[in-house]
Amino acid sequence: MTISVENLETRQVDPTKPLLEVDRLVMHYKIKAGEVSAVEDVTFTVHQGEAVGLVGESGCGKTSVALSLMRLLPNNAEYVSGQIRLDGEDLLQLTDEEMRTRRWKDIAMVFQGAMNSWNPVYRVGDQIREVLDTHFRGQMTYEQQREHMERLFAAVGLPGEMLDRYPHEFSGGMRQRAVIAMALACSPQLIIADEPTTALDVIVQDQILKELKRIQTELGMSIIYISHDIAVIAEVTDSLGVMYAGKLVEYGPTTEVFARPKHPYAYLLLKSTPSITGPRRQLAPLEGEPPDLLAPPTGCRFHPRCPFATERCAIEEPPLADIGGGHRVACWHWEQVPDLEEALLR
Amino acid sequence: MIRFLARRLVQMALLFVVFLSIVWLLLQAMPGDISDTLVGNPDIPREVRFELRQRLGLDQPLHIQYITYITNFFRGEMGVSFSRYPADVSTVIWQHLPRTIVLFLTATVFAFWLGFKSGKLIAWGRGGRSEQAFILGGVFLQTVFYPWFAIVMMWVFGFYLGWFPISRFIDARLWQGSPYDANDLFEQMILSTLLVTVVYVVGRVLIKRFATTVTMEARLRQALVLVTVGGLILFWYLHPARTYVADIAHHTVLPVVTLGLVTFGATMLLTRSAMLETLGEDYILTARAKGLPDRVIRDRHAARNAMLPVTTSLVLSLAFVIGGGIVTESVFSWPGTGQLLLQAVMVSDIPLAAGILAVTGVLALVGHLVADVLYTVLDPRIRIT
Amino acid sequence: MVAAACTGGGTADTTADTTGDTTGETTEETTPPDTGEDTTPEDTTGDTGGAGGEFDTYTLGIFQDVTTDNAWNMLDTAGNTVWNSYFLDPTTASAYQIALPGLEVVPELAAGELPPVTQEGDVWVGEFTLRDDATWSDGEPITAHDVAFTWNTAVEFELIGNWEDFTDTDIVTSVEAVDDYTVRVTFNAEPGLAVWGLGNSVPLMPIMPEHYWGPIVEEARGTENPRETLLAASGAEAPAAGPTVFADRQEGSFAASSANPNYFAKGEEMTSGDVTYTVGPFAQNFQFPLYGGQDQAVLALANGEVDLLLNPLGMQQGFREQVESNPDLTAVVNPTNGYRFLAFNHARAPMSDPAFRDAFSILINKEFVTEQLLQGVAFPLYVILPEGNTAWYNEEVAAQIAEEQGAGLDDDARRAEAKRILVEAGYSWETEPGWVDSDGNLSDEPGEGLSFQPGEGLIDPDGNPIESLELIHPTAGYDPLRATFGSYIAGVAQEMGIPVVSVPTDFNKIVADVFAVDENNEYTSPFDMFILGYSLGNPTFPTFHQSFFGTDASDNNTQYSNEEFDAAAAAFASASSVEEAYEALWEMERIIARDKPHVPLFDTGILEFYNNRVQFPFTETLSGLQFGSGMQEFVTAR
Repeated sequence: MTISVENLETRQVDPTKPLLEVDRLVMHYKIKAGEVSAVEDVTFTVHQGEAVGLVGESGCGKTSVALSLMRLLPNNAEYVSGQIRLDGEDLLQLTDEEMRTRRWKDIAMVFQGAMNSWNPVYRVGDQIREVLDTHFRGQMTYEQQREHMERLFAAVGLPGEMLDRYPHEFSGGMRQRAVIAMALACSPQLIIADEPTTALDVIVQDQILKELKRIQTELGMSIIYISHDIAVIAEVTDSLGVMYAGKLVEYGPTTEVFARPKHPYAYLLLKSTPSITGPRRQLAPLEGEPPDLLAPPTGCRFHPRCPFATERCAIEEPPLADIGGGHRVACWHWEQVPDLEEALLR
Repeated sequence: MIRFLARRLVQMALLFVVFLSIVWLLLQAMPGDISDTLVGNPDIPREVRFELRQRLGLDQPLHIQYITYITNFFRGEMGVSFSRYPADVSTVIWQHLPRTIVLFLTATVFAFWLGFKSGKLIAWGRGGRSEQAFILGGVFLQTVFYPWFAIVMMWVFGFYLGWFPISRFIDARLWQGSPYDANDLFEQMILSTLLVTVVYVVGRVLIKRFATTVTMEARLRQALVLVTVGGLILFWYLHPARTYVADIAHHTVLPVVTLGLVTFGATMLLTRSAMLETLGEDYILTARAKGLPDRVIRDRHAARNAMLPVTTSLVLSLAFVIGGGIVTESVFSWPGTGQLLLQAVMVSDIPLAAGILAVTGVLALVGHLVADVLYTVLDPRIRIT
Repeated sequence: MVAAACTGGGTADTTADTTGDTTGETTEETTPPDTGEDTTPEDTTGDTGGAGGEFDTYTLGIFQDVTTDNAWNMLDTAGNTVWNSYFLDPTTASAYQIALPGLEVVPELAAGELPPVTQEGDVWVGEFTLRDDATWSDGEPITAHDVAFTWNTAVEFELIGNWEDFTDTDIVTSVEAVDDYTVRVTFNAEPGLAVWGLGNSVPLMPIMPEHYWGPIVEEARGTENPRETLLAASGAEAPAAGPTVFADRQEGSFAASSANPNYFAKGEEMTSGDVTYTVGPFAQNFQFPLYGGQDQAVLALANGEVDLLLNPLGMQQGFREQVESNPDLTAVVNPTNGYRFLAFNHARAPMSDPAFRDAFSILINKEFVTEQLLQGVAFPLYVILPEGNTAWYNEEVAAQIAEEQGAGLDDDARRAEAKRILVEAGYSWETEPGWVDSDGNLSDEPGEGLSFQPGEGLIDPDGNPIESLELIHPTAGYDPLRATFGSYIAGVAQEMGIPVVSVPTDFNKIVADVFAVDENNEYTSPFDMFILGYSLGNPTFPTFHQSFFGTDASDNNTQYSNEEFDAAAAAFASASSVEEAYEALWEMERIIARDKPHVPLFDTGILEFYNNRVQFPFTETLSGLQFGSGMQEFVTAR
C-alpha cells in the first residue's frame, strides 16, 4: 500500500498567522426546563498549520464547540455572544446559505464514531463525490472526480477500487481512513476531528492519528482534535485546551499543559488517564459528577469537586489568565496545584 | 442469488397449493351451491336445479371435485364460471382486471406518493404546526367511515361543484356507439404506462453509465422525464380514441383522490417515523457538515433510507391491487375484480371466487419475492443467500 | 314483450336477495306496505298516456351488470338475471303478451285472440295466426317459421331455465308453421290455460329470428357442447321484434339499445286495466348505466343523469324523504308480487298435526308485529296471492280467509283459542297456561281481574313431552323484518308452553338447509319450521301454488301432500276458462289457509324513484315500474 499526498494541494503555512479565532463564544441550548449553558465564554486561536486539542469529560462542551464552529448545532441552540472568525471573517454573521458553502470547503470534520458517518446505502465513492458535486459543481467531470478521489484514497492508504464499495464492506479502520480522505476532498484550511479514533482498537488508533498528523503537516492544514483522552491527543497537538462544564479552564502549549497542568481539573483529568506511551503514573481519582449546566455552580464551575476550593471560588469566577508562555489558566489557586501533586505522590 | 430464487420458487409453489386448497375448501364450506339461486322460482322446475348440479359436476363427491379442480388448475384451466356460464373464469377475470388495475394502481401509487411526500416533509420540519395538521388529517381520513366519505366527495365534487362525474368509469352518453371497447383502452393504458416506465428505468441506467459530469446527468434526467411523460401524453393526444381515454381519465380522478386521501395516512406515518429515525443518524450530521443543500440531505439521505419499509409496504399493496376494494368499487360503480369476487361468493360461484383468490395469492407471493429482492437493491447491507 | 319481463324478473326473493346489489338487501324490509296511495298526485292519473313527447334518451339505472346480449342466454339459467331482462326483454316479442297495468294476456304478434284447441284423434291441436305486417328490426317479416324455429331449437338444445317453461315438452309435442303466419301446436293431452292461454307457454314464448340465429344454431349443432355454444354466441347483431334493438354494451359500465325503427306496434292504442295509452317507443335511445350502490344512483337521479332506477327489490326507504322533497323527482310505491311466510315441516310431529299448526298460527298477531313492532313498514298477509294482482285477487274470499285465520283478534283471545284447540286435540302441559285470579285459580278464558299465566312443557296427545323445536329464520342483519317475526313467534309460542327456539341463521345456510335434497333429488326437509320469502313469477297465470304445495312439486320442501289440493291444482292447470281457473285458485288458497304448509306472514311494497323529465301513463302496477322493465315502449318526455 503506497501512502502519498502527492498531487494533493499543499498550502503555504505562516505559523504566526491566526486562522481561526474563537472569541468569547457563548452558546446556550434552549430546552423546556430552561437554558443550558453549553459553551460559556470560550476563547482560543488556531494558527495556520497548528494542531489544537480540546479535552474534557463527556458533556463538558467540547463537541458543542466543534459543532458551533461549523454552525451545525440543533435548532434549539442559540449563539448568545462572541465571534468565530475564520481568516478574520465572522462565521456567525454569514447567512445559512453562505455558511453551507463554507462547510467542508473551508472547515471539514472527521466525526466521532466514524462507523456511522457513512450512509449505509450509498457507495463510499458516491458519498465523497457528493462533496465534489456540491462544492465544485460543474467544474469537474466524473473522470476528474474519480482521479481526485483515488488520490485522496491513496493519501490515506486505501486502494482506489475501494471507492466502489459500500461502507459495511470496510473495516472500522478503513472506514475512518475513508472519512479522513473525504475530509481532504476540498483541501480545507481546517479539519475538526471529533473523537476521531474512539471506536478503534489501540493499534489502529495510533496509526490513524499518526497519519492524520502527517497529512496535516504535509498539506499545511490546521486541525482541532477533540477527545476525552488527553494522553492520545497530547502526542499530536501543538496546543491543548481543557474544558470543563462549557468553559475553557486551561489553554496553552501542549508540552506545558501536559507536563505541568495548572488547573486542578486538568491535573486530575491527566492523572486519571492511564498512558501507554508516557511515564507510569499513579492514577488519581476524579470524584463527583460534572455539574448540571441548566443551573451551573456560581463562581468557578469546578469548585464543588475541587480539592482547593475556597469561599472565593464559590463566589467569584476566575478569569482565564495568562501565567506566562501563552499558558492560560482559570483558577484562583493554580499556584497550589504542584502541591497537590506532591500530596498525591506521597 | 439463483439458488435463492430457485428455493423460493419451490417454496412458493408449495405454499400456493396449500393456499389454493384452503381457499377452495373454505368456499366449499359455504352453505348451499349455485343451484340454490334458482330455488323458489315457480317458473323454474326443481329438475333444472338438479340438471344444473349435474352439468357443473356438483353432484360428484367432494374429493373428486377437489382433485379435478386442482389438476385442471395446474393445467392452466381455471374452469367455467357457474354464474356466468358458459364463460371461462380466466376470461371473466381478464374482463374485470384492467379496470381494477388502472384504478387501484393509480390510487395506490398516488396514495404512496402523497404519503411519502407528506411524511418526508413533516418529519423534516418536525414539531411544526403543519406536522400536527397533517397527522391529524391523515389519521382522520384513515379512520373516517369510508363509504360516507366517498359519498361526501361525490356530492361535493360531482354534484355540487360538478367538476367530476358521479361514479362510474365512462360516460355512457359519450360512449354509446363508440368503436372502442373500454377494456381495450384500459389495457392500452396499462401497457403504455408500463412501456414508459421501462423506457424510463432503462434511460436512467444508461444516463448513469454514460454521463460524464453531474450537470450533464441532471440535464439528461430532466430530458428523460420530459421525453417519457411527454411521449406518453403525445401518444394519447394523437390516439384516435383520445376523447374516450380523456373521459376515462376524468372519471378516474375522483375515486383515485378519494382512495388516495383515505389511505395515504398510513404511508405518511410510516415514512415519518422511519425518517425521524434516520434523521437522528450520524450520517445525516455528516451530510450537513459536508455542506449539502437541505433538499439533498432530506431526499438523498434521510428519505432514501426511510424508503425501505415504505417500499415493502408499497410492493405488498400492489400485489393486492387486483383484490381491488369491494367498497370502492361499489361506491364508485367501478365493477372490477373486487365486486366480481363478492358476487361470486354470494352465489357460490366457486370456480370464479377461487380463481380471483388464486390470482391474488399468486401476486401476493410474487410481491413478497419482489419485495425481498428490492430490499437488497435498496439496502446493500442485505444479502440474499 | 312484457311477458318475458315477468319470467326474468319474477325469480324468488331468494334469488333476488342473493344476486341483488350489495346495498339492496336492506331494501325489502324498509319498504312500506303502501299500495300506491302515496304516489304523488301528478302521477296517479291513469289517462295521460301518450300525451307526452318524444325524446332522445331514456336512461335507466341498474345495479348489476348486463352480462349478455343473447336472448337465448337471458332466458336460460346463467343469463337469467333481472338486469339482463330489463335490457333484453324489450328487444323480444311473443305471439301474446301481458298488458300492463291490468295483467291481461293480449295479442302482441298474434292477429287475434287465442282460438280454442281442437281434438284430432289422440292429440289436441291449437293454432294461432301472426299479424302479417310485423317485421324484424332489419325489415324481414316475422313469421310462423320463426316461432317453430324458436321452439324446436330450445327443445333440441335442451335449454333450461325459462325455456323449459315456455316449451312445455311434457304436453306440447310439436310446434310447426302451417304457412308463413299460422302456427300449429300439437298437444298429447288437452291443454289448460297454463299451456294454452295465460301461462308461460308457446303463446307467450319470445320469438327468435331464424334468419339470424339459424346459421349459428346450425354451427353450434356440430360442436361438442351445442347448448354452451349457442348461449355463448353474440346476439349483438340480432334483429329485434320488440320496441328496442341492442345497440351497445360496455361491460361493467352500461348497456344501450335504441328504438326499433320497424316496431310493428308503434302508434297503436293499448287499453289495460282502466288505462289507455299509445305504444311508442317515444325515446330514440335507451341507456342502462350501472351503479354500484343506491347512494350514487340517487345522487345521479337528482343530477338528471338518469331517469329511473330499476331494482327488483326497490329502493331503500332511507332515500324516500330526500326524493320526495326534491321537486324534480317522484317516488312511487307499489305492491310486490311476493310474500313472506312461516313454513311447517309436515313430516315431523307435532307439526304434522293440523291442530298443532292451527293453534300455533293463531297465536301470531301479525297486525301487532307489522304495526307495533315494525312501525308499519310491512303489512300482514292471510292469503298468498298478492292484492296487487288485480286480475286474480278476490277480496271477498281473502277477507273471509283472514277472518277465519283470526285477523284482528287480541292476544288473550288468541291464547284462549290456541289453548282450546290444543286441549281439544288431546294436548296437555306440565304447567298449564291460563288466566289466574288473585287466589290462584286457573281459568281457560281471560276475564276481569284475571292475569295470564304462561304455560310450560307441552305434552302431546300420546302423553310424550314435546321436544324442543327450532324455528330458523334470517338474521336481523339480513332481514330485520323476518328476524323480528321469528323471535316474536318463538316468544308467543313459549308462553303457551310450546318449546320453540328461534334460530337466526345465515340466509344462504337456510336456503341450503331447507332445500337440501338426497341423491334422488328428493327434499330431505331437515327442519321443524322456517321463515323465508318468495316472489311469485308470472302473475297472469299464477302457478306457484302448485310448485310450492303440490305433492312432490318443484319447490315443495315442506313434505305437504294433500290429494284435495293436488286436485284443485290440477283443475287450475287444466282449466280451459278463466272462470274455472279462478275457482280452482281460490279453492287452493282456502286449502292452504286450512292446512298451513305455509302461514303467510307479511309483505312490503316496492319503492321506486324517477326523474320528472319522464312520465308514464300509469305508475300503479304490480311490482312497480321495474316489472315492466321501466316501460320502455311507452314512457314519454314530460
